Amino acid sequence: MEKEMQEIAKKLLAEKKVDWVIGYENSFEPGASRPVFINKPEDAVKLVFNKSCVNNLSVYLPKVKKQKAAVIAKGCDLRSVREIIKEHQILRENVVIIGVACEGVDSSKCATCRENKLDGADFTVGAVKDLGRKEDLSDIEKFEKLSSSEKEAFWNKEFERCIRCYACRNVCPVCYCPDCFANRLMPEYLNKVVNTAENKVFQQIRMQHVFGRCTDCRACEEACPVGIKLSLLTKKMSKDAKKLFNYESGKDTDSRPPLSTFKVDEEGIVEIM
Amino acid sequence: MQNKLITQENLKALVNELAASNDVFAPKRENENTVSFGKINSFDEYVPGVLLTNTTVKDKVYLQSEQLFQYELKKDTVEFKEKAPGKEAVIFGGRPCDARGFDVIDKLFNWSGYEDGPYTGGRKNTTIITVSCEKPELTCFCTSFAGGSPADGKGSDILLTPVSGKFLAEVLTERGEKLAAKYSKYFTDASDAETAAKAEFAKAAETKITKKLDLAAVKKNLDSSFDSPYWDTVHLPCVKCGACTYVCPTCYCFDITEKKFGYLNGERNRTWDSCMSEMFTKMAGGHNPRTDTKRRFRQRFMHKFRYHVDNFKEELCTGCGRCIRRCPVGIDIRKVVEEAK
Amino acid sequence: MSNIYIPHKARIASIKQETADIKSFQFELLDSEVRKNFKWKSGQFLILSVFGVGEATFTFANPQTRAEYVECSIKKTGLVTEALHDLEVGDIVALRGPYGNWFPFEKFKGQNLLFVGGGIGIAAIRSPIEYSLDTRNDFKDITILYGGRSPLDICYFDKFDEWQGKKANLVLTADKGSEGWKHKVGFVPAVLKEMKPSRDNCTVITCGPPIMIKFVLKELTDLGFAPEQIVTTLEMKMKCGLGKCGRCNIQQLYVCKDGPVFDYAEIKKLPDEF
Ligand SMILES: Cc1cc2nc3c(=O)[nH]c(=O)nc-3n(C[C@H](O)[C@H](O)[C@H](O)COP(=O)(O)OP(=O)(O)OC[C@H]3O[C@@H](n4cnc5c(N)ncnc54)[C@H](O)[C@@H]3O)c2cc1C
Ligand code: SF4
Ligand code: SF4
Ligand code: SF4
Ligand code: SF4
Ligand code: SF4
Ligand code: FES
Repeated sequence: MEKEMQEIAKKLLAEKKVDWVIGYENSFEPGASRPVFINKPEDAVKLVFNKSCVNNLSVYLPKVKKQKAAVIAKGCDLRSVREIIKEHQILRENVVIIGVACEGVDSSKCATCRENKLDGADFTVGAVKDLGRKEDLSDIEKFEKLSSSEKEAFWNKEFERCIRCYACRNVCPVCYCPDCFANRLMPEYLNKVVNTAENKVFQQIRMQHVFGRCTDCRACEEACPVGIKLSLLTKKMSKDAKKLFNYESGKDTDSRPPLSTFKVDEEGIVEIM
Repeated sequence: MQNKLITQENLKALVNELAASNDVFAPKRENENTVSFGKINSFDEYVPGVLLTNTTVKDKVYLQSEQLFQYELKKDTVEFKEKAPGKEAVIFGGRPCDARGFDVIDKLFNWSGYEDGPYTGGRKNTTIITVSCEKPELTCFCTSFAGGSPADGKGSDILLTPVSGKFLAEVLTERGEKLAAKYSKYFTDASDAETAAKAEFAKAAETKITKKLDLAAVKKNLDSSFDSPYWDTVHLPCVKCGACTYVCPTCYCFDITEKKFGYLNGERNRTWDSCMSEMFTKMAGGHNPRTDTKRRFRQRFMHKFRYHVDNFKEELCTGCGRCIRRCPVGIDIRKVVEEAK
Repeated sequence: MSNIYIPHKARIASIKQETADIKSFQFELLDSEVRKNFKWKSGQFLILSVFGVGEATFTFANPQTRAEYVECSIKKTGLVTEALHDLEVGDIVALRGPYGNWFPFEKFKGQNLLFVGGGIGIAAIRSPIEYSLDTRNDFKDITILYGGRSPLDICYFDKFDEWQGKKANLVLTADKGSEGWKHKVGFVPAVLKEMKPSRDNCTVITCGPPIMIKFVLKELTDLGFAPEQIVTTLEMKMKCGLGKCGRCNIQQLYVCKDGPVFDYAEIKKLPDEF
């Protein structure tokens, strides 16, 4: 599989179809990998694919806007690629998608993965298998049943640890705003002071901004250096987007994200007043 | 002070007794995959086997956010109130690279003719009891630095090294002596053989370190590579978050900001900042000397292995490897500085 | 162990509107002990607190020879400066400093001095101008070239008579003139070229927007000035002023501690990161 991937990359670079191939290379310990940018055909041999290839590489695509890039994408990463195409962050014709048939990487999301299909990829490496995995919302349902004070206590404990490194934001494929609210001084949405309250404000606003756009890719949770359970939020948001608006982000490249449209009567929302 | 010896049981009793009257910070489990320095109430909360806690111990002395003073505007004047000095604290179970970080930034907070009271106050209040590392990780490279070792005591007040089922306790500073004297009932004198066993331990641990940087070569590379095209591409995978700088025991940069309580009162705070952030150098009117991400990326490595060496004759790094482990995209500082040319 | 971040209390003693967006402030330190011991030299800077908003960095606009008040001329550009422009005489602020290095006047003794300033850069050279006028006998000719975008952007009209009275040759210019403007019209570097100052026994002190500095340096070099003869101040974002917060570095130099005053020979050695 790696060989096949390397050949495709080498050819794309040699034929100058792309400026960059963004993939994975081996890193500091056996079995670990990290993102790599390759621009020489002879370096294509560095490309690897294994269980450690967790990173969602689509985050890099808007950053190479002016150039053409090929990206190695798992089925779940493809959703992000579609989402940012839909949001006009990249032009489809500037991106070559090398889809890899994935049977799971070391990520919490894989146990319930139903996303490994590679629809829309320009190349596919390996054969996509039906993994027979099922959606499991039990953790979310369990969390939903907690009382507000229990929920609050849980999140306080999580966000007490947050060091506001913004890794969650910076690895997120749909968090691409050049002028993030968290950096603004006029007006100041967020005080620079790092404490539980401000940390929660940061993540709450971020989550509002990615609602209906987040593909529950878990890049943020994987990146968080202090292991905050961000997937509880992202999974809940996916669930609600589906339930309230019958919307799944990243499914296609042309539907409108639910919060950027308006209908007087949303079927999924029951008004109480 | 003569080297001491302390048994497992006595160590446990010592930590419990310390925790009863001081803030004791030690590696503590936060959730299934996070261990950080947290306040422990008893020895049992301490997680002994971990070398690389998720975050640095630096924040127990140099708080991530710290109030510098409160102000209250009065008629024709303003009044300042400084927060009361913190409780005596003990950092227990950190590693030599953690403790050494304090030794490195102590110099910064005392240079330029100004002693940084808010930092040095906390530092003087804290006793650091470090534990030597038996099995260094693949990310560890402390032996690259002058005197650096998995069993080095620089920055620690007391260094504990496992020897023959007990711990050899090297009491290294006045603060350490004070503590050892106060709790002398838990310690016995160590024999020469036990002291010699520590040297053996250190040697064995050092050989397990897989990577040693040639710092003279690194400095030479960095001295001449500022304008090199190397930096144009090496930074690309980096997403410019601040994880690497915030988990680092030696990064010291900060911002000073204000928080208003009402019209007349508020507080002035300082909070860690990171050269990876665009806001770090962005001036009023929008000019930014380090606009592009490449310049910000280069700053971190240049600062740690070149500029800081020019100013302080030592690297701004203790080789803990935390930035490598916690970087979401696996940027390896060793590789970046070694390959710079 | 001292808290070096606690500023000295001060009261705004006077405010003068210089231009649409620049005001000059006189600050009076409240504590008489502090007032007595608070000494600075031309070129140094202070960090001013506006309570409720934060701190910002400004040059001392007045020299040590006129130290009754602490004076700053401040352009409205952002959070702190806007809040400051809203304050009134009698309002309480605070300041800490003095920080940084200063103009090495002992090296300039017996020389001709040429000051070249533009925009808010004039705030940074008013202090050395007045210092040299107050120690007038130490220097030969003193020439001041000062330009603004328009006549309305020129500060310190009230000071010009005194400067000229102390035998300074003052040349004013505006990028664009207007009715009644009796001075030069044109960019500072162009006027400088026209003036053809002699490089012999002359030191140039220049401050202004980066683009002006760039072309002033070019003109001076064309006129045969050596880099060592040209002195300027650099501006970087600053927070501590103490060499600790880590953001104002250009390579190993911290502008707050090793600067802000540098000569062009030193600057030439630095990479383009300011
Ligand atoms: C040595 C030195 C001397 C200066 N002297 C003067 C002077 O005499 N008159 C004058 O009008 N201006 C001067 N400046 C520029 C002045 O410091 C900035 O305009 C001011 O800090 C802007 O603050 P703000 O809060 O209004 O802007 P914002 O953009 O809201 O600033 C946000 C924060 O960034 C910092 N910051 C932003 N821009 C700068 C900058 N250029 N330099 C340093 N810190 C900055 C401020 O401390 C502030 O906390 C000087 C700058 C330096 C470095
Ligand atoms: S990655 Fe984690 S620690 Fe960093 S800002 Fe996000 S939630 Fe906080
Ligand atoms: S899971 Fe996290 S990183 Fe992925 S799209 Fe959602 S918010 Fe962004
Ligand atoms: S090196 Fe890694 S941790 Fe540091 S800013 Fe870049 S991506 Fe973030
Ligand atoms: S730079 Fe990295 S390896 Fe060095 S001390 Fe900091 S976190 Fe540890
Ligand atoms: S400049 Fe960057 S690398 Fe250096 S101490 Fe500050 S945050 Fe760390
Ligand atoms: S302003 Fe803080 S280091 Fe220069």
